[in-house]
Amino acid sequence: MIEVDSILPVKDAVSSVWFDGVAQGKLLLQRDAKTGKAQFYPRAHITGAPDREPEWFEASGKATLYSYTVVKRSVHPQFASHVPFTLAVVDLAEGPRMTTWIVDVPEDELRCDMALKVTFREIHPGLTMPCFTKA
Amino acid sequence: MTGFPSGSVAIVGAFESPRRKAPGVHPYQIHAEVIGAALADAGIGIEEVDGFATAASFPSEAGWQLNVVEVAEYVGLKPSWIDSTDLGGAMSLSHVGHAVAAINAGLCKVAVISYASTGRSWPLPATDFNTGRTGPGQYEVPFGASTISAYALAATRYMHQYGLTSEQLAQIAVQMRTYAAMNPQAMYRTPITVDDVLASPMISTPLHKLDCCVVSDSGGAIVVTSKARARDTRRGKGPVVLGFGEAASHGQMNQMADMTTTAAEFSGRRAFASAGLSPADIKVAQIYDSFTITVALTLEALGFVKRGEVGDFVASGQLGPQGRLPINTDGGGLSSNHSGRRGMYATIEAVRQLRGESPGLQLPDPELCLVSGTGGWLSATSTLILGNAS
Repeated sequence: MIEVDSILPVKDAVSSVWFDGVAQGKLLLQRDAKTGKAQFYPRAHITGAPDREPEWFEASGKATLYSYTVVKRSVHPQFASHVPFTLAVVDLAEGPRMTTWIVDVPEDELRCDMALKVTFREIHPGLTMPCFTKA
Repeated sequence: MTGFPSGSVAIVGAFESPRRKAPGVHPYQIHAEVIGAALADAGIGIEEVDGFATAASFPSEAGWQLNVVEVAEYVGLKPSWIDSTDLGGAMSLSHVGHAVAAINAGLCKVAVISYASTGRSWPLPATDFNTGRTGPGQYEVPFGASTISAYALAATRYMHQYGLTSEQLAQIAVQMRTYAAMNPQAMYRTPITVDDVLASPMISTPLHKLDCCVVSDSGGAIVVTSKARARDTRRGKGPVVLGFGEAASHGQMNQMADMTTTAAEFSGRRAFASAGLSPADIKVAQIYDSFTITVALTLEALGFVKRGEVGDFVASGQLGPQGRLPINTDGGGLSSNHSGRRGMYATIEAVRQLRGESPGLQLPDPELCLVSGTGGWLSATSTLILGNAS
């Protein structure tokens, strides 16, 4: 049996900043001060430029749905009670993509490119993550 | 043309385990079985083997640290060239490509490449989260992104952009089953219909159970050596490696630039350039079919089909025996064998096809066969072009 602990984040120096933001209801992103380009997931450096440090900023929470799948069956004990759930990759308004869940949208209303907004949900006991719902 | 030593190395031994269900059998036992059989096929003694490549990461592969060393020890190999490049299902193709370079560089003379996995029967819990919950994975793993759901994300996006239908995807599974029906060793041989695929349980929309590969226990091995040394092997020759390319794309699905194509665009371009060939030259191919969508995306990425047109290509029977490009002539991962990392079996089937020994659909005297491997969750690809040496 795989315990629920096996899917919970192991926070590090970088991710702790991001999860602290989530705890305050903020979706944080990083950007390159030189180019203005935003990045996700968080790193200690600018992707493609390991010598430059990113700066944090709060995202607008607006996104569009790049793709999704409604997971109907899961072999993982910690997700068996969640099915069906809608796994998605969204295009954040600031540019980067992130993996998330779409919540409170019936399956037949899901469409690629639909407008979304962030909503924070406790998806596992003790773990709140940014999810998205219809804007 | 590139600097790749095209045509200099031959595949002189190849063996795919007939095992499909092997409860209680350790993967190392299968390594030994297939390496022994591939060397016998080549007519080369184990004492002559000085190169070895394999890799493992799952419990079903006994994927602990130093796996390549432990398998060498278990089998009784003393390699002077060792490779455990891990590109998931594409890795065996990369091992072949790297062995070509190693043999030309004088690092070894006879290299064995093997893979074994008891993906079906290994009793330990094998997680299927794409990455770990540390570092980059901690932003994706809590959402339950699995291998199947990652491919499903790509399928949803491709269908949205290009109008591909579930029926068209299902036709890929139906065609693979038709070839499997000809292969006595295939795991599933009873013909299926598009309706059967669509009526099978939905796993992760839009992928049904029959859009997914089989899960087997099996293994395979390949023996490669210089074209000159190949003359003294049991068959006196073997298909040569004409082209090779590999490419890495992403670890997290949110880092995949375009879910409607794959890194095969790059590994394929490199393979064609190194062989001095183009897609039009290829009449039969082995295309990694972890899922039906994998085939659809890869056919376009490799340039066999124009972007956005693969649905019509499949629906018009172009993957069939009389079509533009028969693929997975042994029944593929969708119906014959997928213990994990099918690249090994796809490469072996290409060798059998060029020898005239396919257990499934044998094409009349093919001169070339392309092999495409896809690892992880569309994460990395490797492409080989094999040909019969003159």
